[in-house]
Amino acid sequence: MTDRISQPPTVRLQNVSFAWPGQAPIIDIQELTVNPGETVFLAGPSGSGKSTLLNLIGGLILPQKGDVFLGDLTLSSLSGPARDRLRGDRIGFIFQEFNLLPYLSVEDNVTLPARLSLLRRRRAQEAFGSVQKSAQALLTGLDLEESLWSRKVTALSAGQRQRVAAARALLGRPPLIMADEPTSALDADHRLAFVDLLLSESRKAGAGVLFVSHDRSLADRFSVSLSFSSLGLKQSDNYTPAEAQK
Amino acid sequence: MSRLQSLLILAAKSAWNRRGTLSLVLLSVIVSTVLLLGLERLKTQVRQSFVRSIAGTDLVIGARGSSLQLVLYAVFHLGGASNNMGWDKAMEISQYPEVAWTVPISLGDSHRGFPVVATDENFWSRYRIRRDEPVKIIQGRAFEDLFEAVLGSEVAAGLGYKTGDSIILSHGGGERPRAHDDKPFQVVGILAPTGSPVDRSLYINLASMEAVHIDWRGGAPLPGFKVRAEDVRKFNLTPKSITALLTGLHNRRQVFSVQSKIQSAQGEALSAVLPGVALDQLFQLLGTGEKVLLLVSALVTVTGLLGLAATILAGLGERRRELAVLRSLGARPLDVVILITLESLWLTVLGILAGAAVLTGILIFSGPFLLTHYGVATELTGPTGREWLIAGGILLAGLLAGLGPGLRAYFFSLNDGLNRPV
Ligand SMILES: Nc1ncnc2c1ncn2[C@@H]1O[C@H](COP(=O)(O)OP(=O)(O)O)[C@@H](O)[C@H]1O
Ligand SMILES: [Mg+2]
Repeated sequence: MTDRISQPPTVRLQNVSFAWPGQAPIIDIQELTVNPGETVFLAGPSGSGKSTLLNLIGGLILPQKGDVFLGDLTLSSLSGPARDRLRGDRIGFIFQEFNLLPYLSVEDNVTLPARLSLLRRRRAQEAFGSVQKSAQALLTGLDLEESLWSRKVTALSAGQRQRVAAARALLGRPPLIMADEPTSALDADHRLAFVDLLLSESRKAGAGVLFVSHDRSLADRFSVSLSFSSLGLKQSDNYTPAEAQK
Repeated sequence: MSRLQSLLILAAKSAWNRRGTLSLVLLSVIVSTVLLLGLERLKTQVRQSFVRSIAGTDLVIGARGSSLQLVLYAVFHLGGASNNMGWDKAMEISQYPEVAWTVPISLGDSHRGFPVVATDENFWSRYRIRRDEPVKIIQGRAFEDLFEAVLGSEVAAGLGYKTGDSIILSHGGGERPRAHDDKPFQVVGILAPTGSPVDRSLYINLASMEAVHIDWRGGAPLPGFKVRAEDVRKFNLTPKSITALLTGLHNRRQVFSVQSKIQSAQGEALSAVLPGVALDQLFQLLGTGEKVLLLVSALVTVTGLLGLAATILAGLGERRRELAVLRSLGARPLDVVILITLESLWLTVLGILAGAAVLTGILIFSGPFLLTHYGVATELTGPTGREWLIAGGILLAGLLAGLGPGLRAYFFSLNDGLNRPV
């Protein structure tokens, strides 16, 4: 890896504002940056627009104002298909639940990114010789034993499923992992363990992490911890303390 | 592996996962295919077997009347003849310089429901089926003498006869024909299968036909007058009339001039019919019924494909998260459309293939039945051009049916983003 200082940030948002059609603005962010390899925790109560933010960074929606940069590229200057491709190439997503396709085995779920992104397929092949071996290495790293690999994902526990989702997000070494409340379906014992596994595997892969959650107890595991309300100019006016406590 | 291949595999795996619901939809595509292709197949085969049986004959000549009725009766032994034509007239026509050959046909008797055809030795040398095949005897020999019968393959197989067996003919072909039991026939030969009405007929010579009726008048035995079988040779057994005369010409181009010569000749009023023209009349009659059946089958198909679209559409609600996951992995909205549309395409392709297989099975299974009961020979041929067209039509309709759910999935994926708020 080349010198980090010379690399552009993995993600940068500048003066971005976004409103869903017919709704008041939900995103109003002056500045948000995730540098290469940096792990960022972003706290916000539910309904504050965390998932909307991930949609913006993923290029599924475009802000009404401001720009989202992924590495050297400005999303608003790209066509829809180009943004789709960029998302597939550069971002690994982990959602709250239902990350996995129920009709695929554990291993086939993990190799899915290689089916849709040529870049990630090539990276996975380079790393371990084949996409399959890459998937198996990630599954092992995430404490998923071999006997589970060919199972249907529906036979897995919630914790195991989230680890499979993490393996899939990491396959093919995307520069950014975005996790949207991935621990909320897990019980308290497993939350910290999951976050630690995710962060150590991400570190191994050299991926930056943007982790959004309302659960502030996880914040100290990350290199940067931000609060959603501190990002924007108007955010603090929009949310009452009662909502923020949720 | 290309992106499209990936989507194809995903669509197939996803469909397999929901095979319980989808198999019902598949069934309706199979039924539609069997109906549409079966109808087409039956239509062409009915036509073919009609045309095939008469391919070598240039003119069918009989008493003046409906030309279609004459051909159907003389060649296919369907329906009945209105009148006979005189034997002397038949002899006269056979002497025309344009006429290459004639085969006299005399009908009326039956054996256990199979028609008895009285003819002469020209039948063996001149009658042609398919393009240019004579009738072949596979067991025994042709009839030579009185009271000798040669059986079509279905008659022999169906009734279990072999050469040397003795059989009794019946007068007429109705429900309770009266037996010619005083003059039994001997089976002397059995014919090779032809896929034509020949298979369902018994052949005797004209003199035998005359002989069994020597003591009959107007469909009933003459009261108080009996001629024993051994005594019939004392009588003149030249027929007075026959049902029809099949005629072949030296030169086919003379067919119209010979036709008008026969029809405008003095004396007995005759019809000389080009069998192809008569069959066209028949096919036109059948065409109306075929169109109704085709319409019904098409409606069944449309209903089936609407069911397919409805089923996929209903399942889409549960799959919204699945589509969002694919989007997060870089799938374009168009990919989602393709994925969902491919599903109905898969099902339609599978349905068409299974339908064609089922139809083939039905044809193999019911072939002998269709042949014995309707004289329709169902040959197992590859798909015809029109059948490809029909299959293509079903496929296209399946694709269109899939576009509905595909478009809905498109709007889902645009509006939902990565996470639809539930
Ligand atoms: N796909 C969408 N279409 C329309 N409105 C949406 C969509 N996703 C989110 N929203 C709106 O944005 C608000 C914030 O939602 P979200 O970004 O999911 O917040 P969080 O993830 O912090 O709970 C929701 O209350 C909803 O009104
Ligand atoms: Mg959310």
